[in-house]
Amino acid sequence: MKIYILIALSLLSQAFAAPTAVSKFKVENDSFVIEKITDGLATIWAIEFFSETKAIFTEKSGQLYLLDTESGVVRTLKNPPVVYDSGQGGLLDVAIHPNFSKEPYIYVTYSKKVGSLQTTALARSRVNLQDESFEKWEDLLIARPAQSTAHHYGSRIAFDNKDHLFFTVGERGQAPLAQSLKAHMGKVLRLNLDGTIPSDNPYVATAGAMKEIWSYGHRNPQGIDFDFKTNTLYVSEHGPMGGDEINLIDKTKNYGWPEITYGREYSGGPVGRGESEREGMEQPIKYYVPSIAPNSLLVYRSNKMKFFKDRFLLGALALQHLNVIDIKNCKTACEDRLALDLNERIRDVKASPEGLVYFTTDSGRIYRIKEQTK
Amino acid sequence: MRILLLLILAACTQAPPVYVSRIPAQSEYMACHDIQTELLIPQIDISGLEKNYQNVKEVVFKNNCASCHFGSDSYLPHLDDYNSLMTVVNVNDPLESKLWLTLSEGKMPPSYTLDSREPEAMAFLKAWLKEGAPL
Repeated sequence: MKIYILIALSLLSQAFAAPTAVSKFKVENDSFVIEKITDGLATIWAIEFFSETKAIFTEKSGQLYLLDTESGVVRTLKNPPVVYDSGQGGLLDVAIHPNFSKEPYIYVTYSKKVGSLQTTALARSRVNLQDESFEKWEDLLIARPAQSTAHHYGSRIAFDNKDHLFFTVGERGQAPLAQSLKAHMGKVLRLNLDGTIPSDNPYVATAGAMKEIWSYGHRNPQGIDFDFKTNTLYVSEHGPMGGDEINLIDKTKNYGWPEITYGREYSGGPVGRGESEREGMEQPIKYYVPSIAPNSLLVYRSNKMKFFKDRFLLGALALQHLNVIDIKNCKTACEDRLALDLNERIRDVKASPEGLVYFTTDSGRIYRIKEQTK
Repeated sequence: MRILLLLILAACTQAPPVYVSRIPAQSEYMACHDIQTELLIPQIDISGLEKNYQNVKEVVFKNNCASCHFGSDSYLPHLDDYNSLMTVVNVNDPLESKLWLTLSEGKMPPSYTLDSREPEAMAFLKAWLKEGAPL
């Protein structure tokens, strides 16, 4: 009996096969390999690292998993949050508390049912990695007002170096809300790590305004990263037909949606008055026409792979590639498009602590890029 | 116990996932570097595929339509749902279907024409429609 059980366990673990090389690419004298780490799940919306070999990731349908990046073995975490998995919603981003060893919290963003409507929410729970289980989920922010639509939820999480959490919320298909300070939709929000509102947030004293707002005028921001080298926050967002953007985020700044955009309506007509710039509204540092549909943004500062160093990496859904551009002069600069041969809708892209690049896909796979030794 | 073992063996020896050869997406951009790519995963000939909805979804919709038409906005046809898809398919005159006309006339996808980028996928879709769009 023991032999049968051991054989069965061994075979089941092979359901998540060990990393396999699926593609190679060469740039000048440097060669890279793309490895498939795991397979067989549904849309993997986000991934984050505890260490070089241990990561946590979300499946949009509502599950959280632990990943061993060496073996590819995946373990299901018990007691995930209850999410509303419909349309573009579900279990979305995941983040690990910056001081996890002392405060073992996991943060997630997700779509939440509110009566007959739905909205974007930010929640956290303590996790016990030994028991592979969450304790009790606590909503830190439920975006208001909830909407009847099932798209443009955002949402991504980033931490700065002063114990703040940034959280993006899409405009939920209600474009004018992005310009209203009375709604969380179409905003970058800023909170303390426990979900309270920082006393130095720009709109804490503004009557009627949502006090969590840091910046506004965003459409569907689904990429964010804080650059610890320059203490700069960057956000990428989906435009309509064309007009995806990367923005350098500053407090109180208006990023223009839907008043200005480089995109057009899906019908082909102009958005609003068809303007792409206006006094008092910020210009993106980079825009994409046609859209690449960026669903993630990584500022790569590691020395591990010089090809990526000091560049943005964006996971593209529509044109199915990993978009790589220089941080400096990115507005007019060229771009590199990697992994086109994999034909994958790329959801999230992250660097491991040592600087290997990981990306996740809608087909339920996780890939890793590493340099081949010469 | 032998049955259990056989079942597990069967589950673990399923056919490998299907990969489809495609032409990389092209749009207006200037590449920074000359990147030489070598695909290591297996590819298959689309002509050998059974013409059913699941294969159409994999070959045509997944890589070209999913960002907007897979479980997305309620006002768009959901191409990941057979019943929803059939609202834009005319089984009596399939090549007059809204689905076929939208793709063949280049109205969708928004940033390229499917026929020029993936002619094999278009041919597969057409053959499936002509067979009555079977599930």
